[in-house]
Amino acid sequence: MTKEKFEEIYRRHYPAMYRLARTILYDADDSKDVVSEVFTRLLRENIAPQEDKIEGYLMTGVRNKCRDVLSHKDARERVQKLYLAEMMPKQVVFIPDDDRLERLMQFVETRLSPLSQQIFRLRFLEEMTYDEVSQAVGVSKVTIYNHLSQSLRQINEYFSKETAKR
Amino acid sequence: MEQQDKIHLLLSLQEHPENYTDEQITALLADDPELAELAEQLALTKRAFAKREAEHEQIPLDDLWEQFAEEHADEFDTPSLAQQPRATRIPLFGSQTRKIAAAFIGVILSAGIAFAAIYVARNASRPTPQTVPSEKPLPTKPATAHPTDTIGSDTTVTTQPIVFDNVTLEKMLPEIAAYYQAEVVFTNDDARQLRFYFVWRHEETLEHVLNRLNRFESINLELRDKKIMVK
Repeated sequence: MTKEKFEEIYRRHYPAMYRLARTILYDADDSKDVVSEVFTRLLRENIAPQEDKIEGYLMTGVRNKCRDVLSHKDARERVQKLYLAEMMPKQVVFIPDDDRLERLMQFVETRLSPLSQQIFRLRFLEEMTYDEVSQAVGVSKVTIYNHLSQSLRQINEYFSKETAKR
Repeated sequence: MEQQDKIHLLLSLQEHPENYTDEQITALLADDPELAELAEQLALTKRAFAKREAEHEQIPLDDLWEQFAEEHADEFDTPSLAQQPRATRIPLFGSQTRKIAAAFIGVILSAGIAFAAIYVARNASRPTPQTVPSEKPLPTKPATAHPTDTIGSDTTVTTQPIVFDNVTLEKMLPEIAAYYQAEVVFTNDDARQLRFYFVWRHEETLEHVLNRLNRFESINLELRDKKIMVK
């Protein structure tokens, strides 16, 4: 493939690929590596996929590569980083669709207090310790714990209702 | 265990996984479906947060592309057709015959180099096809036949490549195997559901196909007398 042609494909698909990887692996650098590897594979492909198949090729490539990265993590790291068990090879392949995540986020944004959301983000996304979160937010560690515990209960309730609906 | 205790356990597992062995964590989650479900819900919520974050993230596409293009500079194809018209125009330049001759030699030389470069690049990126596919029976060929007569690609009809787009290994592999009269044995059930984008040409040898498939990191295939073992 010529450089010009490849650049067009790269620029068109990079954002969606990166966002998908970020949603699965969380880490920005890991996600960039995955996307880069998938593009490298496309570049080295003997026969390039047809125009209309390229998006599928790239997105499937990112999913498989992410699965691969996660399959090398041990149980401790999985529970610590909160990687989704569905991504594990032992589980049936099931990728939560965008809608499902979107609805969940809407629930979080409307039903969890802003402080609870902030604490969730600092603790699980920023990976701060309880001490660090406590200092950043200006409340005690016990309060931090209570917020997380309460959020989990609400999320659990949300899922029970979601399942009942179906 | 009450729900509150499960939440407590999950939060403590998440905060201090070093207090448990890998086996203990796996066993805890396997023995208590409710705990596992809770862990999954928490992970899904983290994912929803991450997705929202990623949507608002600025992606420095220019820098990323520049870096990628630099790292793979020698892997792009040369746009060979675009250079041809320029070569024919060169002789118009000089008025002296010598100059023309010199220019011509120059053109021929650079064209030769360019051609060689393309040739090398093509050859490097494309593994040389095996001339005699080992799984095709050859006994009909007379022993005295010239080597050129046995080249498979001359005698087999080239068909359109088959494109598997987001197809599971479970579906794709038996289809390929059947063509080569081989059998598929899944020793690893997890691999069945892996999905692939894969282009397959009938003229490839089975070994070549398996080699290409093995480049996907998540699969491991081995050929043992007409049996494709999926590990």
